[in-house]
Amino acid sequence: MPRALSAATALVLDALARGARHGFDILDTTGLPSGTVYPILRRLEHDRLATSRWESARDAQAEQRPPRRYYTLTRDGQALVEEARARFPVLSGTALARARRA
Amino acid sequence: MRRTLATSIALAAVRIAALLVPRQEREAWRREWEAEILHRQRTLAAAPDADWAGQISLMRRSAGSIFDAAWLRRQLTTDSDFVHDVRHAWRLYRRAPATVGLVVLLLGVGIGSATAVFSALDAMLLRALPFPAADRLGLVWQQSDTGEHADVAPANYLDWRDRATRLELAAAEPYGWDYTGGAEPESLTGARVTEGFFDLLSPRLQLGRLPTPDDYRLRRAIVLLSDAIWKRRFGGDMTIVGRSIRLDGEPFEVIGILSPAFEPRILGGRLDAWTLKASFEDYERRSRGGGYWHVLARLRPGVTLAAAQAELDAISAQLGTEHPRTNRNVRASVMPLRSHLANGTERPLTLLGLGAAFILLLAVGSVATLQLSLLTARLQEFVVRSALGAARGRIVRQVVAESAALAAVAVALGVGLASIALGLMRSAMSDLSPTVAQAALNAPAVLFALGLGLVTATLASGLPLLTVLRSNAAARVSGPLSVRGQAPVLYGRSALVVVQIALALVLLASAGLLGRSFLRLAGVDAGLETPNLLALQVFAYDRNETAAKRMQFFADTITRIRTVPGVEAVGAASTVPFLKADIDISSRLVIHGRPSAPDEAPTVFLAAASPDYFRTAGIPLRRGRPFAETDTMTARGVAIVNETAARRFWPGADPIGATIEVVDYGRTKTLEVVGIAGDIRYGGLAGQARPEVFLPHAQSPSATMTYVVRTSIEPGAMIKAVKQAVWSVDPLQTFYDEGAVPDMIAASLRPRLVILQLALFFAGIGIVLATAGAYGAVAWAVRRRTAEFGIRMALGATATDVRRHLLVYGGRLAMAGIAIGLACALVLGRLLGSFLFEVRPTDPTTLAAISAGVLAVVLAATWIPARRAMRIDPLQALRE
Repeated sequence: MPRALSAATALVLDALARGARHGFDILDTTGLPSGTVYPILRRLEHDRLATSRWESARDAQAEQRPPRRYYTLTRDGQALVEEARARFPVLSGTALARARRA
Repeated sequence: MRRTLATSIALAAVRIAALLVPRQEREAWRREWEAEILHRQRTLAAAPDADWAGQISLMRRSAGSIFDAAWLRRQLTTDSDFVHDVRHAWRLYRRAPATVGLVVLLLGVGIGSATAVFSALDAMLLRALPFPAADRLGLVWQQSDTGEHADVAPANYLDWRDRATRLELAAAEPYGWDYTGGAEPESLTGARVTEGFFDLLSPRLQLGRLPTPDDYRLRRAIVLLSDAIWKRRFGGDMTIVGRSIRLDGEPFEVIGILSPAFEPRILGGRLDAWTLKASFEDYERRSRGGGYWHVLARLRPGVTLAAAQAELDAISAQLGTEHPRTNRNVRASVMPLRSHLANGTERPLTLLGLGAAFILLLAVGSVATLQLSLLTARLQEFVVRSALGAARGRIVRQVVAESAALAAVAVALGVGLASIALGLMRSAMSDLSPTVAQAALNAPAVLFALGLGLVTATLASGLPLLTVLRSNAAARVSGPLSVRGQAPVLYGRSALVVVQIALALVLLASAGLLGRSFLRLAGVDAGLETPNLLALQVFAYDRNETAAKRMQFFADTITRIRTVPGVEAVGAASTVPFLKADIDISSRLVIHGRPSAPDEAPTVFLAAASPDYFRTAGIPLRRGRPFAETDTMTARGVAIVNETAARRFWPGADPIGATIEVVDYGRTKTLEVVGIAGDIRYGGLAGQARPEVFLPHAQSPSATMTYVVRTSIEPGAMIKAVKQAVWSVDPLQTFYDEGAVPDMIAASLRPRLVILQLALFFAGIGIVLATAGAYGAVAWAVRRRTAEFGIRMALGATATDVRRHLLVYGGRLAMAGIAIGLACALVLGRLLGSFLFEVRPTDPTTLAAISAGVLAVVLAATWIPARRAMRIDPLQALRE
């Protein structure tokens, strides 16, 4: 468990729980700068709250680009989302609004 | 998929940031970021309009990757000193974002322009030409005693080829064909080439084969087509090889399609078709006077250019004794193919390179100044740290890391800017040189930019370090705020400002001289009234071989063009300026009643003109009458001379009524001068007016004519209608060149305009940097010397004295900079020589005006901080 759950981490957790899967997706959903989101993802992965895997090469090849890295929440991560939403009800709402606008 | 600029910048940023990521993670990290960027590019490209916000956000996000990378590094490694220093620098720079941003921007501009010029020079001078052993290829010209390079006369080529042992020679005869198999008749340009021509070049083919010795022996009618014409006219038909196409009505078998890279431009422009010159006519074996062939040469292995030239000199001397009348002063001169292809663009590029180097130096000066002020502000910090045991090397490393961080951002910016600049350069110069057109931002160019960044960082940190470390030593003894401790810093800073002012002056002087030249040139009277004037050039020989038929053809077509709605007037002449093909026909001029030795008879240029040509083209008739419909073949021969001819051959006398003799179509004609026309410039606006004699087209029935059409609407829109009028007379007639005359003039000025714009751009940056430098130096002096001024004022100096003191300081900086700058400008001005038009590189008016301007700007920049110094309260200053 992370020492303290920051608002930014809460937003990222929330975005992952809502189905955002890769870096830019999360940037779009949360509106946070890339210099913030990526370190959070790295930390979540390090703390085993999220895992990452590479997209299949075939899917990527179809679009003529390299495979992306997908992030998903682990069970611990899912549990933390509930905590995050409880602690940041307003922020979670904002993220939702942003996601809808995007 | 094509990468947008935003994507390229984003990818470059990620690659640079990746260097921060610890090695074990780097590959995966980079792949993740690249995949995101490329995926985003796809979505952006799919958007119907250019999504600028999306592009900018993409670049911003990629810039954020550096934080991600730095974060990873912090997590996975114990911080090295270097990373610590960079982070320290970042915090430091964030306190003055505007200054730092400006400095980085300017460094970026400097690195970017230098890189762009490097790429262009690389393409021209270093990269391999698309021919095997291209460095042994050359062109041979006929050089006259005046040093001018001319095309080669056929008989000279044949003798050179037979006698030369150190080089192999082959010739190309420029040729044009009418291709009539398409929707519209079209004129193809190309060459007939002698045996061995393609062996010298060994071009790559996309389809088919090259000519063989058998083809020459059997004199086969075969043709090789360029990639461009194959795609445009034949739709890239893969089955074309072996098929027959009609050129000038004759069948030619297509044997091959050349690769798009094969564009030798040894004959000037783009060439569409190549056929064989398998035999030589008798007149060709005799023709040594005017040349029109282009001769390609390959040095035999082991032969140097000088040795080949020596042999050609010996052959030229032999030919001079054998054919004294024609060859006495003709020298065969060999020139490397590479210099020919560069076509004089090395000089503007060298100039641009110099400008870029100056900007870079100016920007380095600014970074050094920035470092210097940051360093002096931290003098205490360093003193304390040294006292606590920090090694001097540690302080040095820290300053270098700070400059390196700035330089890294500037390199990324510079590479982006260079790719934009190269695009501009390609569009401006590709008409001049095919090699420049191939300049690209490749790996050597990026390495070059990185190298520049390294040099910049070293220079920008070295100077401040030297001065600060010296004053640091002094400071240790006498306390950090002593005046003695500041002195070296002050001198260092003043010297930087002086250099910046000098560099800016050189840039401004160049821009000023180029600007004056351009204005002069643009103001040149072309000799004809250009608005709404259209020109179309035709070669009408093939179906009009007799003079009578040609007269009829032009009379008919002119009548038809006149009936086109929107046409106000129409005329025709054999030579019209600003067209691609200048037809130069010259003749000796003999004036009756004035005996002269045959060798000394002056040369004039001949042109045939229709009666309405002068009126239509707006060429003023100074005196006399224009040609009339009654000036026919059976009437008395008449001529109109231009002002230059009148001035030169009839000084102080009236040429009208004079009887002259010229040689036209091989016959001597006796003509009466009936009028004097205004001068026209040939060879661009910078060209000289030449002595010219006009003959009525009815008496000199040229087959090569250019219609001039004055329209009541925008001339470009009328081209099609005018062509259709000509096709109503002969549906097979082709047009060799066509266009609105104002557009042709603008195109002839374009290379100069681009150079001027770049010079102005550089000069603008230069003066901004120099002004900021002077302002900074004086403002800094005011801050540093507040206590001193306080004492002075307490001791009786007035505020005005303080202001004067500072203004004198600023003025001295300016004068020193101007003096050095003027000296450099005078030395470097010679490089500008060929770009100037009727302005000397030492033009005193321009140089004086620029110097006065620089002095005024620097003094104005000094004024603001000087006024602040006047408001110093002596009591407060002393208390502090």
